[in-house]
Parts: sequence; C-alpha cells; structure tokens
Amino acid sequence: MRRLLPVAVAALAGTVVLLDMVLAPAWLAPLARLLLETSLVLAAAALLFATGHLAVTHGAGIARGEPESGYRSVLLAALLITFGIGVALPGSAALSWVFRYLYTPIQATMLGLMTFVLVDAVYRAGRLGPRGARILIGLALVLLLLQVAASDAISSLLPALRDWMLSVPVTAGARGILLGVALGATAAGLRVLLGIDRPYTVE
Amino acid sequence: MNGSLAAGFLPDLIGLWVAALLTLAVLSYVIQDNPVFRLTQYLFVGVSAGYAAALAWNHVLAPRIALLLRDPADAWPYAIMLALAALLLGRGWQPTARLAGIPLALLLGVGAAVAIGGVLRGTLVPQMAASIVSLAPIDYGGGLRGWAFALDAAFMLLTTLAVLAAYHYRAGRTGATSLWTRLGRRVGQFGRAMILLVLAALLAGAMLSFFAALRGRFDFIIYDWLGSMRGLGG
Amino acid sequence: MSLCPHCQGENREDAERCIWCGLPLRPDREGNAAGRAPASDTHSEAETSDAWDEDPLAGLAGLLPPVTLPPMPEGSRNAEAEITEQERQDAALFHRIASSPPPLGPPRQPTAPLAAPVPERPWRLTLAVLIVLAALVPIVTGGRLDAAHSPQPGVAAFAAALDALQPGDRVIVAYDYAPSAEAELAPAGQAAVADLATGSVALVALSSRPEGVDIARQSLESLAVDGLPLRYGTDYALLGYLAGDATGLRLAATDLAAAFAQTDAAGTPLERLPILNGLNKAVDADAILVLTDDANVARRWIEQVGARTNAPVLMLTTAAIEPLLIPYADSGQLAALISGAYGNLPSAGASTRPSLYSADGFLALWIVLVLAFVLGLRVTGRRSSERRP
Repeated sequence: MRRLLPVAVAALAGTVVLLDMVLAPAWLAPLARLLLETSLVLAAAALLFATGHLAVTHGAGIARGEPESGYRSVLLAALLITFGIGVALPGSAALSWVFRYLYTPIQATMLGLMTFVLVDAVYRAGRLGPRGARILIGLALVLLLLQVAASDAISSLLPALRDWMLSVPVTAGARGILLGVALGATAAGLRVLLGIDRPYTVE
Repeated sequence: MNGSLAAGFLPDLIGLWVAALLTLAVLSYVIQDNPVFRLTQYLFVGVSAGYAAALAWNHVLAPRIALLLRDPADAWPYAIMLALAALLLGRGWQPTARLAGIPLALLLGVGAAVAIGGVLRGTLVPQMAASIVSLAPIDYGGGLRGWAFALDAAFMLLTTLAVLAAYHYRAGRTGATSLWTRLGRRVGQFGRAMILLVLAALLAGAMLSFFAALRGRFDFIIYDWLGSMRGLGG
Repeated sequence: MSLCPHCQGENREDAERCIWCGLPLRPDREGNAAGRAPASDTHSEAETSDAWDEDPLAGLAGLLPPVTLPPMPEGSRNAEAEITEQERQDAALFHRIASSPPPLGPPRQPTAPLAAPVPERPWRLTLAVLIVLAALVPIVTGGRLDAAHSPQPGVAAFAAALDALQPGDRVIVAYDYAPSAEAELAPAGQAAVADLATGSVALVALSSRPEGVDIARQSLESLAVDGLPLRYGTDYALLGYLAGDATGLRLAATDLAAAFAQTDAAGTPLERLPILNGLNKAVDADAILVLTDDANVARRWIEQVGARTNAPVLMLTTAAIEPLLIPYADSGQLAALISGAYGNLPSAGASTRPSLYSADGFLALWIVLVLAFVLGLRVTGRRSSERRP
C-alpha cells in the first residue's frame, strides 16, 4: 500500500492536469492550478536543497582533507557568499556585481573557448574521423559558407540557395526529428502516468 | 554586460579588472589545462549554484512564506506546498525516505502531464498538419513556379516520413526480408542522410554561436578593459 | 608477460593491444585512438562500411568529456590449424587467468576518451592563433561584408510584427538566455525592446532561467539610460524568475499572479502595477517576445504558451538552435524567427559602439575551419601513402 501511494499520487495529479490541458472543464481549473503551483514550489525547493547538498558534500570533503580541497574551498566560499548576498540583499547592486563581473565573464568565455575545441575537432575529424563525420563536417562547412556568403553582391543565387536549404530540406528533417522526439516524450510521459516507470520511488 | 562603464567608479573599475582576469584565466586553457583555469571552474560552479538558489528562495519560496504568515486563513494552500517541500528533505534519512516519494511523485506526475499536453497541442498536431500540404502545382499558382513549390512540398513530406522511418529501420542487415522491409530500410537510409543534414546545420550554427561568444569576449577585452585603461572606452 | 597500463590485465610481451580492454599497450604519437584500430585499418573499414551506419558524431567526440569503456576482449584472428609455441603460452595465460579467484571489487574499467588524441601541439597552437586572428579581422576590414549581406527571411517578418503593435499594447518579453549568448542576442534583442519602448508598447519582462533575471534588469535599466522616459509599473515591469520549466510556463499561461506569488521581482504586489491591469494570463498579452539560446526553452514557450494564444510569438535565438525551430516558423506557430548571429548584423552596423561583430569575422572563421579540415585530410593522406608498401 505504501509503495502504491506515490504511484497513485503521480497518476492522479498528472491526470487532473492533463484533463485540464486537453478538455479544460471550468470546475477542474482551480485544482489543476493548485497542482501546478505546488509543482513549481517543489521544483524551487528541490533546487535549493540540491545546492545545500552540494555545499555539504564539498564541505565534508574539505573537512576530511580530500584531494583538491583548495579548489573546493573556493567553490564553497563562492556559493555561500553569493547565496548570502542574494538572500540578504535581493536585487541589489552587490548581487548584480557578482553576476556581471564573476558569473558572466566565466560563462561567456567558456562558450567562446568552444571555438578552439571545435576547430580541434574539425581537424581531428579530417585526420582520423570515420567517413560519416567527414561528410557531416563537409556539409556543415557548405552550409556555413552559404550563411556567410549570402550576398547579392556575389550572386543572387546564394541567398536563394541559403533560404531554400534552410526552408526545405533542413526544415523537413528537423520536423521529422521534432515529431520523433515528441512521440518519444509522449510515450515516456504516459509511462510515468500509468505507473510503468516510477522514477520517484525510494527503495 | 558590455554596456558603457563610467571609469573611475570604483566597484565597476574593480569589477572590470576582475572580469578581464577571469576571461584571460579561462582562455589560458587554450595553451593547456592549468590550475588557474580549474580555479575559475570551481568559482563558477559556486557562484552559479549560490545565485540560482538565492533566486529560488527570493522569487518562489520567500514570497509564499510571507503571504502565509500575513494571511494564514487565505493562504493555507501554501502551508501544504511548503510541507510537501520539506518532505523532500526527508529523502536522505531512512525513516522518512519513503515519504519523500510523495512530493517527488507529484512533481514528476504533473511534469509528465504538462509535457504530454504541451507536446500534443504544441508540436505533434501542428507539425503533422504542416506536413500534410497540397501536392498539386495548381494550388501554388501553376506553371513552373507551381511545379517548383509542389516538388518542394513533396520533398518535405517524403523527408519528414523518411526521418521518422530512420528511427525504426536500420540498413545493413542481410538475410531474407520482405519488399516492404527492404523499402523501409532504403527510406530509413535516406532519413538518416537528412538527419545528417540537420546535424550539419546545427553544427554550422554552433560554429557561429561559439565564435560570436568568443568575439564578445574580445570586444570586452579590447574596448572595455583595455579601452578603460587608455580612456578610449566605448 | 606484460601488464596493461590501463586495466592492469596480463598480456603477451609482444602484444600491441591489450586482450582485455583493447587499448594500445604502448600508446604512440601517431594518433592510434584508444579503443580503435590503427588509422589505416580505420580508413579501410570506413571505405567498405556504409557511412550512414557509422556514428557521424564519432569524429567530433572530442567535444564530449571522456567516458568509461567496457572491456572489449579481442578474439584471435589466427585461424591456422597448427598450434604454435606462442599459442601454447596464450592458452596457459588464459588458463591461469580463468582459474584465478574472482576479484573482490568491480572489474577494472579502463577510462579512455572516445575521440582521437589531441593534435600535435604546434598545429594546435597555430590553429588557436588563426582563430584569434579571425576574431580580430574586423579591426582591419571594418565590417565591409555587413552592408552587402542579404538578411534572413525572418528579419522582415520580425520587423513587421514589431511595427504592427500599437501604443498601449503589452508585450511579454522573456529573457531566457545565459550570459554566454549575450554577444549574439543582446544587440538585436535590445534594439527590439528599445523599438517597442519608443513606440509606447508596455514591456512585461520575466525569465524562466535564474540568470535571465539580471540580464532582464540590465536590459530594462539601459533603456532608461538611453533617455527613454519610462515609468516602472506603467511602461515596464520585471516579474522575476519563473521556476518549474514547462510547469511554470503552463501556470503563467493561465495565472500570472499564481506563477509569481502575487509579487514582482522587487516584492511589489502585482495588483499595484498598472501595467498588469487586465493581464491575468500570459496568453492575454498582445505579443510574446522570447530571447533564448536553449531549444528546450523555446519549445516549452511554443507548447505551453504559444499553442494557447492568438497573439504573435516572436523568437530571437542563437544560430546554434535555429534549425530546430524553423519548423515552428514554417507551420505558423512562430510569427517570426531570427537567429542572433545574422539578425544582429543590421543592429551591429547601426550601433555607435565599436565591436568586432561582423560578417567579415564569420568569413575568416570559415577559412580557418576549412584550413583545419583540409590539413587533417592531407595529413591522413600522407600517412596512408607512407604505410603502403
């Protein structure tokens, strides 16, 4: 019975929300809204607890003198200071400063770093890649050239070719992928609602 | 982020230098992995986790707690929500571990329903409807133009079906097979080729996005940081 | 007997590859990938196998972190009937290993990257220098290709959709991108938002990602810096962080107050904000403008909000995810879709602030990529011809 309770909760809550989305009966709307808001609160609480778990894990590692304790100390200090500023001074200039001058440069530069990794990968694919990878890279370079050189000053065919490539074969292929992913997502969701998959069970 | 900064305003000036040094620290990975780069990784994880948690508290939990304390009679559902949220914490303790399954089940059940409802109405039905278009040239104005559009429409329909078939059929297996299976495999091969084309388009886009991010950082280094030192900031 | 440096398995002295994990026993600098046959074998295999059956991302796996490989015992290819002395030794080794007691712990798992090893250092540094030079090209060329560049089809539709909005209309602006996408999205996004504010269209800003809140705040504050007479609560408002991904969006679509706990990002009760009078649900807005670098976020907006409103949904995304969203524009679910990389060029050209953002740099990047690819092919070709007798 205790093991079936979470299954029943998932099925019932999911069914109410799904009926509200598909049929939208007026009498069901308040209950559906309540369930949605509860999920929203739970998601935020889960994020908070996960961050706490991260802090506890690294703190325990530092206390045990595990390897990379120096780096872990930086992580823990950054986490606690940022969280402290965020809670004590929400929306303040201090929090904006942390976001603007600590978070943003690191995150933005890491994505920029991917350019170097990408060029490395293109070189490796040319050198050692299977034929499929080389075809993929070749196609990508052709498409990139079409994007870059799409100028009437060079040829009026280039913008037209770029537009055709994106609006016909790429769109059709992407549509097939989206439909495949959507069907998979529907099946996965139904499995959770029907209790076949139970990712929430605690053994 | 790259807005104009009044040089001389101390926190911004310090921030400018901190940001520049962090940017260079991350870029040092190009030469080789080094302790400075690793330090920025750990710093980033700490800041991002603390920042996200602070927002989750400020924008989701704290306002609801405040409403509950201010008007318990009206805001009583928040008490249930917060109690369920507290149950999540019990997952790490054996006596209460099973109870933690209830809020998790609610979260995942509602999430699955929202996903199904959204996918059905937002992707499956509209995209299938968009695939089913007229193949008659006359519907596109007739003549050469009409034929071109009709061929495009036919190609798109075939490609969409072929990509779906690619999920099911894989070529390469030998042995006696029916005509339909062989046909399905060929169609699946074409579908995989089209998937490759989409992947190529995504890769080309990724190249542009990565490079745009890199140039954004160079903009900052040259025009904001070095510019502030030369007094030539943008 | 020799021990494998990866999984510590026992092997013959003259063995090149470990019989337990398949990795080279003495890794060389010729780029023989861990877990894969030597390059010449790879190419002959590639020549005969169907390219569509191979994983096309295998050559790009260097973008992914190293993964643990399961042990791959390599069977003997020697089919001779006579038993040689070496085979007797192999059999004895096998018998010794098979009859030894099982290990107490889990089997040793070799950790090896899927990708080929990193190219030689000089080439790597050369490519890195070329990338930096490509990024700096616009300093020399001054963005000559920008004016000649043909805009994407979505740019005109985007501009038309913005122009169709009337003074007093309310637009929900979702700042759902990370700082890493700021270089690509911010210029065109800021131009769009400024255009709306200038036309007296009210802006209701929010974000379904934590980092988007500060980005939204900076964007709205810079409008005031630009001299536009905007009043908070009347001309614009920042609702804050919308948690819960798709669930949060579904809730916002039907009840904005419930989604944001009745308050905005600063804690002001929503009922005190004139901008939200009559705007109880996100679907009631006159338009929805989504700025995002995440395909899942874009899909969620379309599925949870866009599918339930007649208002136009405009999307400004990064080039990396644009191909996946084109079907939604094609089906009419998106009124306009533009990618920041090329949607930005008009904005960048009009900006008075110096920037390296231009089509010249993109062309330089393309040249570097082609150079890297061709270089890799040539190196392969030269080594293959050296191996032939």
